[in-house]
This record gives sequence, structure tokens and C-alpha cells, in this order.
Amino acid sequence: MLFNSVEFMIFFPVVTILYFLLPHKLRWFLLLVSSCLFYMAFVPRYILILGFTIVIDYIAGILIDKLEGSRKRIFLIISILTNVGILFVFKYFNFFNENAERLAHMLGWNYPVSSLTIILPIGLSFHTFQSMSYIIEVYRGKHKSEKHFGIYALYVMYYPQLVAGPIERPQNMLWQFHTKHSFDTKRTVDGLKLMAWGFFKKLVIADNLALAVNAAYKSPEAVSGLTLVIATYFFAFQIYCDFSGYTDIARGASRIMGIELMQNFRLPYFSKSISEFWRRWHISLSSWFSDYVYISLGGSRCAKWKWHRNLLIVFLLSGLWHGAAWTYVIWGALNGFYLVFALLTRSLREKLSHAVRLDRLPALQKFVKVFVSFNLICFSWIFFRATSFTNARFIIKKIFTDFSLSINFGSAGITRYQVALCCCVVAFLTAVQLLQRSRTLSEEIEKKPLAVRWGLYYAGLILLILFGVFNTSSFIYFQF
Amino acid sequence: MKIIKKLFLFLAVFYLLTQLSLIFLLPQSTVYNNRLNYDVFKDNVHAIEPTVKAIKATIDKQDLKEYIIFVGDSVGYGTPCPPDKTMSSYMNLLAAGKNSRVRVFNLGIPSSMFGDFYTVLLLLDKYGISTENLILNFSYWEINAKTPAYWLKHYLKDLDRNSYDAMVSRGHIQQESPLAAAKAELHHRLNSYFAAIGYSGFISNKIKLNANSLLNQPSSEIMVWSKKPKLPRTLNLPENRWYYSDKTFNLSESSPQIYFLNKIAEHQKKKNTLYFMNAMNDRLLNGATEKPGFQSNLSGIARCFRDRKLNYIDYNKKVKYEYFSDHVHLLPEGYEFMAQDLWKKIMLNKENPDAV
Repeated sequence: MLFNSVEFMIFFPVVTILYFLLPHKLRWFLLLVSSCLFYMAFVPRYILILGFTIVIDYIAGILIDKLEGSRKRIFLIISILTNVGILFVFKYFNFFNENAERLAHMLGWNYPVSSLTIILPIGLSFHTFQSMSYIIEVYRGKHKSEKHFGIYALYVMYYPQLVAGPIERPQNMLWQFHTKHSFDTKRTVDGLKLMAWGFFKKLVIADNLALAVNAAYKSPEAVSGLTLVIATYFFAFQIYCDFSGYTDIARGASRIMGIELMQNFRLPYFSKSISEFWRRWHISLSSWFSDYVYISLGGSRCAKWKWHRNLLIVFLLSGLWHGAAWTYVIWGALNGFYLVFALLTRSLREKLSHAVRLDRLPALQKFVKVFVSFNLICFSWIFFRATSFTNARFIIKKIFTDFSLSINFGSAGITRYQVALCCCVVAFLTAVQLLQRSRTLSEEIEKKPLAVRWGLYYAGLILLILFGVFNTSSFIYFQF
Repeated sequence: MKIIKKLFLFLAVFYLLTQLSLIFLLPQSTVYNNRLNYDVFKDNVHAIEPTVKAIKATIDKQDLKEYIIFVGDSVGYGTPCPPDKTMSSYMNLLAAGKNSRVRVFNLGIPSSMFGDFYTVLLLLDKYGISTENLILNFSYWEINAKTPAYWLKHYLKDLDRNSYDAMVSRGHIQQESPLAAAKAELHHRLNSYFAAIGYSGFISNKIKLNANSLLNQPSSEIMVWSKKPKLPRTLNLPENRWYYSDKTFNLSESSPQIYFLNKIAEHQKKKNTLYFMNAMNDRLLNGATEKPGFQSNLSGIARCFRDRKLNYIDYNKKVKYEYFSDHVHLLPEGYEFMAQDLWKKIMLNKENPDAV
């Protein structure tokens, strides 16, 4: 079920009202059943996969908690192999198989393994990583295993974050399911506002930008290099609003029920470096890789070359996590390269900054850093958005060879109004985010008198109705 | 419970403000400008209802005693021409030139067929708009199509449940799941009761049009068919060959189109109604319309109307080749020519029902 669907507009209030009407001991059951219905609205039979991993991880968690030493380790391995195995079969098998087939063909070998005809279950990477997080935390002794099967199943399946995160940790979620949450007016208002802002970001900003981005990326040969640059900037805002919009709706819906989900974005495009960007973008995934892969590999407390290798491994895996395609691998590798390059050139850059006296103008220095980081991130988004490596290569080549100043979205079927609307929504978002650097939008509005407050809410509602794209388009991160 | 009260008040104020401002202050031309606003309609079929309401408001405001309703497909709608260069617009100009108070209202819908035409008539009845004078156009292939109501099936379900059920039982309309039916009903109600939702498409479309004109957005060029080199190849694609198929058409009572033609004929009994089939561009279609099968279908269609004693004109061979923009749609000159001919015929038919 999509958040931006009519079904959800009925589902959400019904579930929330029932949640508060039911006694606490029955709430987990309501949420679990609702989550099953929410998930089954996509492809019903895939709930079996989810059910299978839940049973395996639940049992493994209890046994890991009980056992010691190598026996404990066996169940950790069983659980991780099950999760990674399912992920591999459904998400990566065809990718590796096709590449192996291509390699075999190049070498003139016979390759008899055919690809699987399966659809990727929605949000598979998200709930698999959340399950693994539980098992690793239990194994590390940082969290006790959950004895209540229903609560554990709910931890994996909790509908607001089931299909696109945030990828939660057991220590943040499980206790919240056990705690009784009464209806709270302030919390409800906060939750509704967060949801409204999420819907606005998705329907007004992301989906309008998507029209221009899709048109330009679909036929890059028809548009100029400058148009592709603008489309790439638009995509940067589209993906941010699409994903953070989803997260806001998820967090808002959950907050109303008293269950707080972790923050996934903290104004990432204001980052002064790539490493800062990754601490502000998709925080739940970045921290997952940091806690369970990067640190396990030795993190930064090792030889320099190993540190750099660790960074590259983490970002390659992060790229692969996003999708089984070379474009995602390159996108991940490129971000890893940025980080390593930044580390290698840190002193040189500091010297350069000092030489041109940029360090004496902190505001300008900050602006330059934000500007450079943002553009590097935008460059990497080309690989993320392109339909194939060839497509990405063509777009990059065109950007760096076609210097005509014409902006011709029109040849891709986009009118000037649509381009102007895209510029307006980007400007609006930037203005709001500049405000949000010091305090939240909600706090800012809260200070105003009632008439102004309501006026602003009405304006938002009218903008949503007039400029929202209500064709129930899916969220980009659902495919991961 | 304070929050519930506050939320309710917030929504009630919003509802009242939008209902009042949109219903009383929104210019009718934003909703109906010489024809149905297809840009809005294709994204939300419920746009038909504000359009019919806008026509009714114009009729009442101008106290029109006599008017003609134009129902039909994309040719009636006026594809690819702007709203002021359609058959209905040219007929309005003719009427104005003759100091006649007769006005023509265009409810042509691209890709619509007889089930949709019939449903439009029922909607007009619902809002008290007379169909005393009606022009109905259709294209050759539409009378053999298996889909009776492409756009307006939910309205058909609402306005003539028996016909809807008959189409479902014959398999011409797919049976809806209870969830899909509930969703459609909810969508319908939201559009009907909330002006902010029902009219939002028209307002955003108006903003779009104004902004594009402010930004000098070049309008799409209307070209004669002979200047479109890809057109013959496009028409030869398998999915487009049904436009000029020479296979025998089903014109029996089992055809969904004939079912609705009967319904329309019944609805229009003793009313001034003119049915016409759009001309096809034989030169572009490379003689496809000369094939015996095609000719036999044309005769069959003519017989169909004759048997029902309906005033019918087949415009094939009556429109110059240079008036076409493709296989069936016309250039402004073509629509002007058609308007002049139709004006004469509908007026003649009004005075003497057996003349056409």
C-alpha cells in the first residue's frame, strides 16, 4: 500500500483509532495484522518470505541469547546466511548470473545457468537489514532476545517503516512496542504536521520534479547539456523529497501512536563535506554500515591503506545495497572514492585554503565547501538515476561536451511552465531548509498568531491540492 | 478532545471558504471554454460534471431558449485545433453572424464511444439541460469497438444501472472488485462534494496555460497530414490498423455500440438529432477505404441508422484531402467547412425533420 494512495487515507485513520480504542495488550496484534495487510497490498505471496525470515531470526535470537561461544556463533551465521541468501536470490542472483554469462560468452565458454523470473519483494533490503541488526545486537550482547514472537514480528513488519525504513535497531524499537502509549494531543498534532510536510515534499516537490527529470533522462539525446545539468540538480531534490517525504510520513504516522522512529535525514545538502553528507543522508543505513561493516573491518583504527580500503568496501556494498546494477555499484564506488580522496588531500586543501586566505572568510569558506560537496553529490546522482551505464556515460559526455546555453526540456515534452514550477519548488524547499537550520518548521510556525498559522496551513493545503501530482506514483526507495 | 474540535473547525472553515469561493467566484470559462477541458478530464473523468454544470450556468445566465449540444469523439472535440477552431465554435460564429441566439455547446470527448455518448446525455438530463437539438459524431471504427464506455462507466453505473449491468454481464465492462468499486465511489463523492477537489484540476490548468503564455511557450503546430512523413508508417502499425479495418463489423444487437445506439435513439425520440460519421482521409489510407469490406461496412452502418429512422450523414468523400491533419481529424478550415454544412443541416432538420 502506498502512503499516497486512497487506501492509505482510509487505512491510517482506521488503524490509529482502533489502536487507541484497544487495550495495550492487544495493540501489538492490531499493528501486526495491519502491517500484514499493508504489505500484502503489494504482492500478497511475498509475505511468506517475510514470515520465513521472521521465524528463523526469532528462533536464532533466542538461541544466541541462551548459548555461548561457538554454538552461539553458529546460529548467528545461520541467521545471517538466511537473510543474505534470500536477499541474494531475489535481488542479486540475476545480476551476478547475467554478468557471469557475459564473461563466459567473452571467454567462449558454455554457460548453462538461466536467470530467474521473479519480482523483487518490496522493501526487501530494508527489512532484511533490520532483521540482521537485531541478530547482531543480540549476538553482541547489546540487547536481549525478544521472547514475544508477535512483538518480534512487529519489529520487522511495523507498517510505517516496513518498506522504506528507517532501518531501525532493536534497542530503539522493541521497548516502545512493550510500552503503553496513551493518546497525546501535542504528539498527534506534531505527527500530523510531519505527515503533511512529508506528503507535500512527495506530491508537490518530488513528483513535479520527476516529470522533468524523467523526460530529460529518457531522451538525453534530445536535450542540451545544460538541460541535463538542470535535470540532474532537479533529481537531487526529487530523490531527497521522495525519500525524506516517505520518512516524514512514516515518522509522523508512528509518532501519533507514540512510537518514535529514528531521524533519517538532517538537511544533507547543507553538508560541508562528503563524509558529513553521509552522516546526514539516509542516516539509518549509513549508521548500519558503519556499525556492522565498517567497524567490523577495523574502521579507521588501523593502517591508513586499510582504513581507505574499509571505506571503499563500505561504499561499494552501499551501492550494491541500493540495486543490482553496475550504475549503483559505480555510484557507491564514486562516493567511496570522494571520501578517500578527501582524506588524502586534506592537508593540501587546508594549505590551499590558507594560501588564498579563504580561511579568513569563514562564511565564504563554508559556502564553497557546501557548493563543492553538493555538486560532487549531484555528479554521483547521474549514475544513480541513469537507466544504464551507457546512459550515464552518454549524459556525462553530453554535459561536458555540449556547451550550448539553451534549456530545451521542450524537446523532451516538458513545457516552460513545468520547468518554472520545478524551479519554484526547489527555491521553496531551499528557503524552508535555510529556516530549518536553526529551528524546525513546526517551531517557526508555532510562534505565529492563530490567524497567520491557519493561513499558512490553508496555503499549504491549497498548494498541495493545486500542484500535487496525484497519480499514486511509487516512492523511489521502494525498489530497494 | 480539544484537538478534534480544532481540527474539525479548521477543516470546516476550509471547506466553506473553498466551496463558496470556487462555486461563486470561479469564472465559468475556466471550466468550459468552447469545449470540455480534455487536459483536466483525462486525469480526472469527474471533470465532466463541473463542465456540465458550467454549461447549465451559461444557459441560465444568458436565458438561452435554443441551443445545440454537440456530443461525439475527438473530431467533435476538435483535435488537434484550439478550442476556438472547432466545429462547435465555428457554428457559434455562424449563429452570431446571423444574429441568431442559438448557441452550440461542445461535449465531444476524445476516445469516447457510444456508451460514453449515451452517458453524457444522461448527465445532461441530470442537470436539466435539454437535448432537443443534438449533433452526434462518431468515427468508422468506433461502431465496432468492444469497449462501450471508456471514460464514463462510473457515471453510467450511477445513471443507468440496468445498462451498466447488461454490459458487465455481456463482458463488455469488466466486473469491479468491491475494493475498486468503493475506491471509485469515494473518488466520485470527493469530487462531487468538495469543490476544492472537483475544481482543482481546472485551476491548475488555468495557471499552467497563463504561465505558458507568459513564458512564450510555443504552441504545438497544426499541420496538414501530407507534411507528416511518419504518419503512414504509424497508421500501418498493427495496433492502428483497426481504424480502417475491412473485416465485417458486428452491427447486430449483440454489439455494445449498437446497444447504446439504440439507447441514444430511444432517448432522442422526436428530438432534432443529427448523427454523422467522420470522413476518413482515403488518400492517406492508401485506398483502404475503397476495399469491398470497408464499403460494405459503410453500407451496413448506413442501414443501421436507416432502419432506426435516424437522420444520418456519412461524410466520407465529402471533405477535401487538404482539410485533414491525419487519417480523420481536420484542420481549422476542415472544421469550418463541416460547421457550415452541419449548421445548414441541423437547421433544416429542425424545420423539416425528414429533409436530411
